[in-house]
Amino acid sequence: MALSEKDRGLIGRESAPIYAPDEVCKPMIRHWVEAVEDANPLYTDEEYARGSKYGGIIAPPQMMMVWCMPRMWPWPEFPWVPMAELELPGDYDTYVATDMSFEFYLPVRPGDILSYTMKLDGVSEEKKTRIGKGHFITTTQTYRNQRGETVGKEIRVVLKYKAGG
Amino acid sequence: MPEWKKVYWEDVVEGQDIGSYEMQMDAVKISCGAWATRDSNPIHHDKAFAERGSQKNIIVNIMQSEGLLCRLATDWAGPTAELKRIRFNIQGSCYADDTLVVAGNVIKKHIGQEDNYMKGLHLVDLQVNATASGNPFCDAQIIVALPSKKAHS
Repeated sequence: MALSEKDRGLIGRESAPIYAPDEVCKPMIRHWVEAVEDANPLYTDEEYARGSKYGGIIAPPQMMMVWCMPRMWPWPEFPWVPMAELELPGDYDTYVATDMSFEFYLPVRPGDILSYTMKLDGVSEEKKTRIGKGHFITTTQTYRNQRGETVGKEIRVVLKYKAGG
Repeated sequence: MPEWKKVYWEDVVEGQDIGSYEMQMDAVKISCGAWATRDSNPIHHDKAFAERGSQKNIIVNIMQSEGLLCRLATDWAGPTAELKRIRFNIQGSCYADDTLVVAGNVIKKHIGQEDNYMKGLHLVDLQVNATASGNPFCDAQIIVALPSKKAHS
């Protein structure tokens, strides 16, 4: 079945910014560093970081998404996002992320307040895949700091499909 | 203060091994990763929940996996290497009590040509693979910018 006119009209649309609940901070950097045992001194060693080209501690670039994870309580209100409006013509019941890319443009530092927007880049017609029939949905999440500078992007492809279908 | 590694772009050889590391994953390490990435999905901390979903144990989440792969790049090249782009793929799961092995090699070295944020930088493309107790887990193609002996930094 072809995509509806409504679904086609959502392609290219972007959400309003979704804000991180807290500013970037050293304790959360340390928790992350402990979980992956990353000894990079830019993340935790004040003296080294001061002498580096950054002049101070930076957050691991891969933490970009972590800062914007929603509060668990009270559950925040989210702005309109185009992906949530997709109606897709089939009884698809499962999502799986098939491809994820990240681009890092600027360092993120303690005290920064990040936000991101979600843009729907494309929705494929129904494809038959190894795990079932479904649509590939491509989105770009653009992360910005409190000065409005783009610090990085995440480009994600998810398959919404009917398991075994 | 420890001496940190500093790999220069000129010293990198295409195809070279960038080393590996091993980490024993257990419920503490996995739930610590989920908590540190603010991921409350019970598949990363509740074994009974995981078993009801036909998994044998709790699994490492995506954000921790990315961190584990990126770590190898900067472990190898040192803190003057900058992570620029990651393409991440998942093939399997890493369970509590699995032994994680992360290993990689250099695919290509080049100067950024495209008219984008990497233009003119001294770049190295890495392939980094992770296995969990010998089974495919995830991999990434990582582009890092390295210092050059010719450039003033």
